[in-house]
Amino acid sequence: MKITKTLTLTLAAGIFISLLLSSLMFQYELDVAEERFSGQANAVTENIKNSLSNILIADDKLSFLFQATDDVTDEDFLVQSRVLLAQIPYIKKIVYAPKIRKSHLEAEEKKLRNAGYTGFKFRSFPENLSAKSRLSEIIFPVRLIQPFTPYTATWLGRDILTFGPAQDALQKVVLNAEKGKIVHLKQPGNVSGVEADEYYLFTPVTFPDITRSHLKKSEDIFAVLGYQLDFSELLFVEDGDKNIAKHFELDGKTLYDYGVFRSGSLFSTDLNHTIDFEGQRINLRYQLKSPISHVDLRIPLLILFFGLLITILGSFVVKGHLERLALLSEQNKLIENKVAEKTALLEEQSNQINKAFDHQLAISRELESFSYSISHDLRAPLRSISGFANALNEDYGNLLDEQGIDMLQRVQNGAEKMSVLIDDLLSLSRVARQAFNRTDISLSDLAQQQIGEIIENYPTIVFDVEIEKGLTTRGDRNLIGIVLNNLLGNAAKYASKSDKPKIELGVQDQDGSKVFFVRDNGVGFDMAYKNKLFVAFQRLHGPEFEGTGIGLATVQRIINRHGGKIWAESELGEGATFYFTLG
Amino acid sequence: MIRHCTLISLSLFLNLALPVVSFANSSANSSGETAETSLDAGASKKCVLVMSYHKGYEWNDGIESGVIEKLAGVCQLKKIYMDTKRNTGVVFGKAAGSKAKRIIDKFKPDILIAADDNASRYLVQRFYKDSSLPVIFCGVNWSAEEYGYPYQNATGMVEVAPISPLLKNIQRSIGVVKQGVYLSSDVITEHTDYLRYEKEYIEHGVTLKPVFVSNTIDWKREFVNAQKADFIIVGNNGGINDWDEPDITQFVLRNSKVLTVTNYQWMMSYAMLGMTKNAREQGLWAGDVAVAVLGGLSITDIPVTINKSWYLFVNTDLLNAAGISLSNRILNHAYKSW
Repeated sequence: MKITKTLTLTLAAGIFISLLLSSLMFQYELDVAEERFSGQANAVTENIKNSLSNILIADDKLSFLFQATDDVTDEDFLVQSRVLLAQIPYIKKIVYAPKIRKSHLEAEEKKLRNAGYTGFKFRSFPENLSAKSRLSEIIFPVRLIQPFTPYTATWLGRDILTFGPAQDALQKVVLNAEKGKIVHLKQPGNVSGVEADEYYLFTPVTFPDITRSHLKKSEDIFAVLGYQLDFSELLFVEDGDKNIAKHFELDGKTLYDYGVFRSGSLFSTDLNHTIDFEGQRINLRYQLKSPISHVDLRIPLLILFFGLLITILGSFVVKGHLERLALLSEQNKLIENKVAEKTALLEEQSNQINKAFDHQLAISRELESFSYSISHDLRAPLRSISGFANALNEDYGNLLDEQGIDMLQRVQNGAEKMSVLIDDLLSLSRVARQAFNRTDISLSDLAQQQIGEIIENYPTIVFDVEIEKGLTTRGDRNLIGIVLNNLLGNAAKYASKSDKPKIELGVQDQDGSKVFFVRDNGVGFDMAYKNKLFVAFQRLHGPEFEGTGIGLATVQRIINRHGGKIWAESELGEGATFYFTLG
Repeated sequence: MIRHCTLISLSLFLNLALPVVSFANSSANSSGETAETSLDAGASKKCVLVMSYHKGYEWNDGIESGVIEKLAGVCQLKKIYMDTKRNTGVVFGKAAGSKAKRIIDKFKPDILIAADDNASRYLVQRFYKDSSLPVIFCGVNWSAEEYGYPYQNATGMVEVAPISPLLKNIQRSIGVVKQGVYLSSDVITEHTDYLRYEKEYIEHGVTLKPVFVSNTIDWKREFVNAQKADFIIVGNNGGINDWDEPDITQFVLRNSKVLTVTNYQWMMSYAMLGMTKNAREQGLWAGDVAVAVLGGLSITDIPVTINKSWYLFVNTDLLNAAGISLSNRILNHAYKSW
């Protein structure tokens, strides 16, 4: 539940932040798009303004050609108009129509026919394009046209004032002496020389002494120049603005439409510009429809995408983390429970062990006490047996035959053995009972004392004794003395039958611990029986070597009391080495 | 007597029969020779180009290349060479016209293009005047009225010499001119041309003095005399049989003091400035009109026109020798070799 809540919060926060950043970027891009739109619209307007200015400059140049001489040849016009068409690509066609009085028509026709224009006649535009000229005495026949193609050639000789679609504009130029008129010619049908949706600018050509700005009356005009304009060449200043709907109006009438223009749309941005061209108002309206569709959505979408991606990934991470925490918490509880259970079990086992230990200790104490008591209590009757056996031998030995003496001797030997056994048992039991007083001990000195006493029991044998000097340790002096006595005693006993008996006491380092050793070159023992070495009453040799089998058990018990270890290595006939540590 | 009669008979036979044999041979070899070039075998429209002259004649080839350029991919084009440059007789011309008609009638074209005068004279005027077959003529000299044009079914381009443009260039080069000399061989066509020049130049206040000669000595003498004028128009040398090109080239180089102009490319060795007609312009226009007519434009709506572009040449050796400099506009646009 908690995880779900945290996860929901994380997701919600991530989505919110992503949407926020994305919408901020979107707003920025929207502003950029609208700014770009505004810039593009301004650029188009400026382009059209400049282009119209350029057209007027070009018109001045061309007018000058006709003003400079009254005999402009086809070649002159060709050269000049080709230059203009090349320089101003949005002018598609140039038409020159001089003013001719009707009384001069025949002479002019003849002149042209003589120049090679076979069958030349001035004429009106075809019926479907024609309108009756309002001038009765004057015509403006098209004399020159560039580019000169079979289609444009159809205009040659036609009175431009009869050109119906443009007549109003032309009348204003010719009759009202207006300085220039742009006119939109809608395709009225399949008419030679007029293509669909053409735009023409008609300008007057004035006599040389009349400048355009001083033009006031029709009489100042001697020709008309017409320029076919391609507004589409002016509309686009860069690729991107093809998305902008454009609507141009000339004197309130649609001049040009690009794209579907819907005024007052909620989802659009509109701009209105106005150009004044020689008294004509050209209204330009630009519309960025659905500005959203013009926004570069890549970055906002990218931000949204990565935001959501990070949110989802983060949610997974958070979820995983929370789940791990929950799992750990659960595991901790389980472990705590287990620990509690185990602790309880251990406590119970410990109690049981303690009880068992106490019980064992009590038993052990009882046994030791019993052993001590037995040993101690056995000593008195044994002394009686031994004493009376000696008395019997001394007092009545002569009365006994050999068999009787032998039997008495056996009693005495048995009593002695039993006495030694009791001593050893007492010693063993004392080891556990004796007070433990750890002090610094010179093992070398202690061993030196011990060995002296020991080898006195072998007066006929010369032992080679090597006791390393300076061996020290901490332990109970009495008990360590018992250890050395037993080990050195065993060494002397089992080496006593060797040719050159040798006894060594030394120390060596094993893994940083002092390990003392007692080595002899005696009979040794079979390592197969090494586990019996330190068990009480276990003997590895026959009667040729005296002993009760309690000594090494006593030694082990003392070593154990010191927290040490004892072990032995041997080979039959190669002597034995006893190692021990003292905690 | 018998021998005399035999000679007379032989002479009559030769006089009557040889032209026929000659025509028959030339018909077989070149006259009316057709060469069909299928510009677009898949095109449904058919066009015929009838050329007055023969293949290999430079003017003829210029028109032909212009037509071919425009009609490529538009129609199947059949070309007919009338070969009337090498065979100038009227009989031959009429026969070539008749043969062309037979080919045309069999081919059933959608449009007929007639190049140069004889195609109009011996073919169009005789067989296709005001017919239903649209006709486009080109390369007709000075005026097509001579062949009855305009017809209801025809239009075209007339070939005029650049009389007025040449005067303009003279004026641009050396300023105001009052008097010039027209120096040419003494042949009818040159007399005709001179009259056109004279008429045009007088309208511009320039008088022309005509000088027609028949041999090189006279030509040289008159050339030196003409140096007193403002300029010299060097007319055609065709008809001056002892014309020695290297000699006259050197002579002109030594004796040129005033501007010399010509309308003939082959006379550029003796003139400083040349304006010559452009055969390809004729062919290109005819091709353009054919395409428009095949596309639905009424041929009667297209008026007859004249050639409008010229080749401009300058002879820099002569200009340098005479110390005359032309405007940069001319020098930049002119060919320096011919």
